[in-house]
Amino acid sequence: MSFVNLGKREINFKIVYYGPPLSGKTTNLEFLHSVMPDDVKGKMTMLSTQQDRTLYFDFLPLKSSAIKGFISRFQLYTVPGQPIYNQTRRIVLTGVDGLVFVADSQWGEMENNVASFENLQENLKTFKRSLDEIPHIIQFNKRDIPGVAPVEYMDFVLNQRAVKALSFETVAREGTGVYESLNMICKMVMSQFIKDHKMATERPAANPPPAKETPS
Amino acid sequence: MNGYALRDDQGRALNRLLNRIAGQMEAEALLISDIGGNILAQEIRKEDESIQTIAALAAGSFAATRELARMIGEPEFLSVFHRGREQSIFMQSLASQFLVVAIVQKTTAQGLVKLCLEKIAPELEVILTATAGQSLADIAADTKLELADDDDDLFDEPDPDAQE
Repeated sequence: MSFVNLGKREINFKIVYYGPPLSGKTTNLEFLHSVMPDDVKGKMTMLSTQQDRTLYFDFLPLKSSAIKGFISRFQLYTVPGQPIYNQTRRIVLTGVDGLVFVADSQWGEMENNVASFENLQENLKTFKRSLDEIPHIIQFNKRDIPGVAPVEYMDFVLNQRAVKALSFETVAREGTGVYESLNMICKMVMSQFIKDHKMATERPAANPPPAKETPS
Repeated sequence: MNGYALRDDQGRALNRLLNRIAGQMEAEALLISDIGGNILAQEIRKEDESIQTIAALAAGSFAATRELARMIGEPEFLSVFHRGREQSIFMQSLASQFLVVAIVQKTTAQGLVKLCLEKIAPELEVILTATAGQSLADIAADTKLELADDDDDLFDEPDPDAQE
């Protein structure tokens, strides 16, 4: 859920990278952190097991001046992909503004991709939310591995909703497509925010809030 | 739902309240965040870029303890204390959606932290409850939002040769 600090002219957005285990969610953030200039990125934090599997989440804050007159802060999170950590995934999804679903292109991972995508939709339901109202994109990752599933097939399996999501072919460990998907999801999130704000300001307020100042 | 927004005067009021107790408890850092880890106000001794990460981790940690609380039949733990050798972190829930996070030295007793927070909690809750229900449109309807340049990428891909 976006948060605006009007005094500091800042808008905060939360973007979550979701997907099955070992699909490349953490690798996305690691790549971004390795190449982003220092004035754009904050400290990257990874909460991993000893086997480098995400235990809780990874976190990377980025900032941009993409909305005129404001600093836009994007907080990028990953979720742990392993099935046993579903409660953790729900916690990380709290207040999400945008989603990047990272699918593994290998044939043997299709079942896990589908299960994770269904799990995402189930978890959103617990917050009474749905993919219909949350900007989201799909990454078909690991496209460099020989003999992976064709994009058309992955699209057929994972992208069959009434409104199709934008999809990107990526090789996260090399950074291919990682920037494109980040830029796209950030733009989608900001556009949604601007659109919602415009609608709210054009709609006559039924119960306008009191305009009084907080006492000193 | 277009998120929520904090007015300038509300932000200043939160900072004043934190400032009132930060000295008493000799806090290294004192901040108010929402349960998503967004910082609404902070009072810190030394500027540190990791404060945003601390807020995100504190929010995640508190959310995990909330699940633990539910498993034993509690709606949530009202506060959580992480005790370290030199510094400790105290977190307290406020108005269900917010947290106060205090980082204190080992010389500051946990009771003092609780006492200080109790003093300002009612005032904090009034402001935070009002904040949770207001959008940017509610507090600044005349704000026109537009992208700086619709055609440009937000984040420019660097030259591959410059990669670490």
